[in-house]
Amino acid sequence: MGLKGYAGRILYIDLSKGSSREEAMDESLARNYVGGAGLAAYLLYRSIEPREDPFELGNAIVYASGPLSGTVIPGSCKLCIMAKSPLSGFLAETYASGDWAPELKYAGFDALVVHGASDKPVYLWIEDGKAEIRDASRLWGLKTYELWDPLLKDVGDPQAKILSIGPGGERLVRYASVLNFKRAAGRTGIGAVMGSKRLKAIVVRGTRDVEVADFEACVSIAKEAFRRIIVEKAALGTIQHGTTNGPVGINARGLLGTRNWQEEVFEGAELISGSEMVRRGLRIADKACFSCPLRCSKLHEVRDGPYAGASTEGPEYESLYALGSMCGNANVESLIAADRLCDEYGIDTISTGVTIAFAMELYQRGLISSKDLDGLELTWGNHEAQIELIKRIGERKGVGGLLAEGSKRAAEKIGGEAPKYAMHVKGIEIPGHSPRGVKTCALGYAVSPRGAIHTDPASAMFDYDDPYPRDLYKGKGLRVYREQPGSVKTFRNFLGLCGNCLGLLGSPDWGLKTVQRLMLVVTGLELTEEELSSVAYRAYTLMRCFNVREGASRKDDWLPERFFKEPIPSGPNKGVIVSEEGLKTMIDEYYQAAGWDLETGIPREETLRNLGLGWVAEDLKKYVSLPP
Amino acid sequence: MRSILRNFLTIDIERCTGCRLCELACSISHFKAFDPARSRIKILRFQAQGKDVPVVCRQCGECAAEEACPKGAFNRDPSTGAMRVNPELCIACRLCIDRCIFGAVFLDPKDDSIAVCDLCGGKPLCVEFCLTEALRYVPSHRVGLKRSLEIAEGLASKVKPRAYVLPR
Repeated sequence: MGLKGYAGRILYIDLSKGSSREEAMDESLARNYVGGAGLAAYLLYRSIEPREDPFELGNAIVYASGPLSGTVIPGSCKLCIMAKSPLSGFLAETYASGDWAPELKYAGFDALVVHGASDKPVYLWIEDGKAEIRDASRLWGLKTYELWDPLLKDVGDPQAKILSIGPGGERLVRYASVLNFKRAAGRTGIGAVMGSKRLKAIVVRGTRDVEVADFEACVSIAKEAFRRIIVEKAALGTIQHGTTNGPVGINARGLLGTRNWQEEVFEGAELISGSEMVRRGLRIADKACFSCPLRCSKLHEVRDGPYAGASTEGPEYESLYALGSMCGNANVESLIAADRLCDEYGIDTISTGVTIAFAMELYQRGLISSKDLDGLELTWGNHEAQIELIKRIGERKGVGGLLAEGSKRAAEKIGGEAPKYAMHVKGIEIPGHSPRGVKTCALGYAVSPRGAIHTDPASAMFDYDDPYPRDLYKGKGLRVYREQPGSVKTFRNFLGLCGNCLGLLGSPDWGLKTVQRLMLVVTGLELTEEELSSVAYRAYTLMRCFNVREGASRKDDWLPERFFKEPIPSGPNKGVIVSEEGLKTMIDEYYQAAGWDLETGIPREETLRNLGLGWVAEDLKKYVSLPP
Repeated sequence: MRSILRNFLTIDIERCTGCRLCELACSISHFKAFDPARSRIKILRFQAQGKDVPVVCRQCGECAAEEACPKGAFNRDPSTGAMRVNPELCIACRLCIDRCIFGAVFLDPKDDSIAVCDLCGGKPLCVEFCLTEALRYVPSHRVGLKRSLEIAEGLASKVKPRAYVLPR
């Protein structure tokens, strides 16, 4: 029996030459890298020109589905996108749910790699195994919502699936997102990389089936998930509110980033919650991604007031945090409008919100004035100013041009004290989980290959609540490393699964046994737990090597000064802080277990060879001296 | 007069989330495959409006597709009432696709045959896969009753019960 589950082919497009070619997605690639993040990391490492600016021709973008994409397994729609990040200069990695990844499989491809750049705006049209580069001059400049109808008309298929950038990506806003219709692959700025290549959109449509090894078993897994939802009322909270009630739960713990992390209790948390949006009659529908029974995407619409008519799928937890509590904004109607604007312009809600919060703190401290802000009074909670700023960022107009560079670069340009208030790791703005309160979150933000990200396995967050004392560090770095392969955050990214659906699959405790079974019934590959662990360690070490090749070292694995110097000022976690010594201990443990050099953070040659990454070792030696 | 109780596939558009599990169910039921392009039910999503509309054969009493067919290839399954296409007679002229007033007749992309909902022979899998109950399969005396109930519930909440006492 051949390899099942996969479409079997990888498509390469060179926009400079206007050419395309294919490579086989073979069994050894499947065994060693599985798909999603693993496959994308492998393809990206081999595809880019190292140490070039992310906007140069040598950057590449990889779009990868998972082996489960396109099957009936609930939540198997996740798309992984990787490139070199215009924010960090290191690995860019981001995910979107929706319907694009399954459609790519139906069109006959597991992954797509885009090289080079076009002189004029183009879009890619991929239909049943054929790819075509088409003119997008008429589409350039359109906001995402305006793009869909003309683009679907252009390809002549109402069921085609669109992945696109908005004006933010075109104008190289460094945290521009890529959107599969309304579902955003928001983080690390790949939208701007697409913009630099003048690639407006990738439209796919396919009619092929995804063949699996054990068809009946896959159907049973879906039916069992449905039974859990209907009979056991599994995932009820997700079905009712998606992640929109996050602000309430996290605020109750006193860990909700507020006013640029000066505080972690937000007085307006209840007002920006999903329950409140329902109570106010703002919730108008539940929407679902492909093959997902959970319909966690909540459609909200403002009925009256200054934001009347604004509607959006979302805002979800991270957007409520970044645009809401971080900016001191408890006006939920304005958050619906802000979320919609970010999606229209195609800019990441997290980085947008956190960058505005940064500007608000500078304003609070008198480091910038309304004169520097095109006349805007950037007081906390000033939602009119926030909305205006989002437009200016999306269009790179006035001060928007500065903030479109991201908080790190903006802070460097403003100079003086400003960098102290830029909340980022490796240039990536901090998402809505507290590194002060949750020590594994601090570790994750520090060592994740893509900077401050809450969905990487190193941000394990098993210590979100009791019984873990908030000031405990020892042992956590080791535990995070050891549990990484089986972590809920690892194989979902490789298989193409959504985190919200994991609880419906296999045993209630997500782990390698579930991964083994899913791989077996879908692909027919029998992988031992050791082999699966190696897949995870191989991929994360490879991502590390990607960064090392770009010049990263241990000094980049650190947090903003605030988290070490300013204790949480109030609430249940008053006084809690990250100790530099404690974080260092966790990082040491993590590096040591990973086989990375303690001083430089560079993976040892022996580690690379043991993971089957000898080819990476040979490559890296051209750039750095590799510890033995 | 028919003697058996007939079930109908009912569609509550307002409840459709656009997950397209019904499309997968259809391809599972008919082809043992994960291939929504071959599905006889299609979810058309109107992205900007945030609306999803299921399109599937509504088992009309008078079938425009049947009337259009020059070869008389359509017939009704007596047990379910579903329209069927006799492959022996069908010449794949696709007039039925042009004429169906709901646009619910399709062409199967694998073999270019006419694809129309056959209610899975009386046990439609799409209904089993539709967790929001946008799709239901109910006997005729319950068709519309759910909507009646919702409307009546609204009315009930507005009225106050009163005891009638006969005048002495």
